[in-house]
Amino acid sequence: MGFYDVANHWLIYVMVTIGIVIVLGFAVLSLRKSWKRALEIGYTKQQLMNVTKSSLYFTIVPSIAIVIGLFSLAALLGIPWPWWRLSVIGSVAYELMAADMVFKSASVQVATATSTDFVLIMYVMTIGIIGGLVTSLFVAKKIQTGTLKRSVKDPRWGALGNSVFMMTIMVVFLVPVIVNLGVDLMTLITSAIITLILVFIIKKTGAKWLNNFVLAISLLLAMGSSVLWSALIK
Amino acid sequence: MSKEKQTTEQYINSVHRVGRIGGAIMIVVMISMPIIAGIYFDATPSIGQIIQASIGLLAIFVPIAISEVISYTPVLGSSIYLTLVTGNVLNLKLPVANNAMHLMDVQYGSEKADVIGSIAVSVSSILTVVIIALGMLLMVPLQPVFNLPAVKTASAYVLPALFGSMALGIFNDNLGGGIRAPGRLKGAIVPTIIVLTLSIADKYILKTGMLSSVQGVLILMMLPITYFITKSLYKKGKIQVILPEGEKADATVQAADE
Repeated sequence: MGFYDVANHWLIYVMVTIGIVIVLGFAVLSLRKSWKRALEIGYTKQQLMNVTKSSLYFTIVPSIAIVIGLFSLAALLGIPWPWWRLSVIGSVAYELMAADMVFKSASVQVATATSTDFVLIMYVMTIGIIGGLVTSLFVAKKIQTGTLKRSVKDPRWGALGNSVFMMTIMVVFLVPVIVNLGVDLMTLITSAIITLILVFIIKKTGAKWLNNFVLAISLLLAMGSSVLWSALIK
Repeated sequence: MSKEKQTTEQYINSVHRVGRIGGAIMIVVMISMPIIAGIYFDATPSIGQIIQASIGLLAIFVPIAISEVISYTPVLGSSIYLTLVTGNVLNLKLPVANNAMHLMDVQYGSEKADVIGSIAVSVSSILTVVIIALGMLLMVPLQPVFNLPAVKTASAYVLPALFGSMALGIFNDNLGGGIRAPGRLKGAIVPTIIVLTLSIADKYILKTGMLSSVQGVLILMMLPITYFITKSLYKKGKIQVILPEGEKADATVQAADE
């Protein structure tokens, strides 16, 4: 059997479908538990529906970007395996890097690759990125317990200390985008301006429902603006 | 008869138990796929081939993966397991959780943040899986639309389009739950200078473009710097934390013991 005979084989479809059903089951269980707890600690259904709606609206656009990645990956690796990889831990950049490493290590090209090369790609993509999930099983609870304890010991420092993590993550990812200048920077500024305008509108009109859409609208319009900035700058 | 309300400790223990079991099941599912395919197609590569092909990736991604768990868990809480299973942390799960926490005005690291973040991550994960499945089913009719140059350009700028909006919510005095911390950004000055220097060196002097692939490790290096500078400034009174009147800012939560 050749590379693409395996890549588009029904068995891969079946395994991937089962895997995705399990992922969905995990997500639904997680949602059920957190929803129940949220009601217990005093949130109303209306508040939780607002969180849900806002999360759904925001998720659509980045998910479509993932689908675009699926198309480019499917051209190289068939349909079912990229479907699985992008539904779980993977990303287009990582999967392409992993496939490239396999082709190089086996000294083959896609045209001459065998079924064993495809299975090798499956192994490498899985093993290479599973470290985070394995680590989380051992340390995540301890880390979260630490953040909760900080709030109990000293509420002031707890609130401040726990905010440091998100601030640092943003510094590390935001600064290189700014340094890139050009389209990256203009898109970033556009996104910030749109957010400020929306916040202003909410304050002036009292349209609190708009809060649910701020991130989604800013994301969509700023992504749209990147087309304009690309045409003007590049 | 309705069940008794859980304590925070019981809730944390319970969600981590579910997360760990779910995570472990997913590891088994992920690893079993190449094993089954190898056996069925009689195409199992040798262990030597697997090690040779994956060693480079492991060298890059294991440190990044570990540092991501350490830096993202304080923000994402128990939803870290589902986040790591479904991926797309930076472009989806972190912003969606952060957005929900801001919407509900909860402070990072609190039980409320954990619950709200988990709802957002779960909902987002379900929708992403559905959209990707639809994308796969509709690949033929959708491909011409998604191959349009404008759509491809726009999809390449998801991160800056996200960060502009997110940054406004993160870089301000509000810590959530009505708590304010005027001057807290002082703690980020040194890490910003370091990351700025490294970014400029990488982009304009070394021109390697390596920095983006080690950002996970960079977060891990910057975290203690930001943390201890912030703590020192807080102790010296240079950063103040103002609690809402009459409240103890989620201080009633009982930390769960291991």
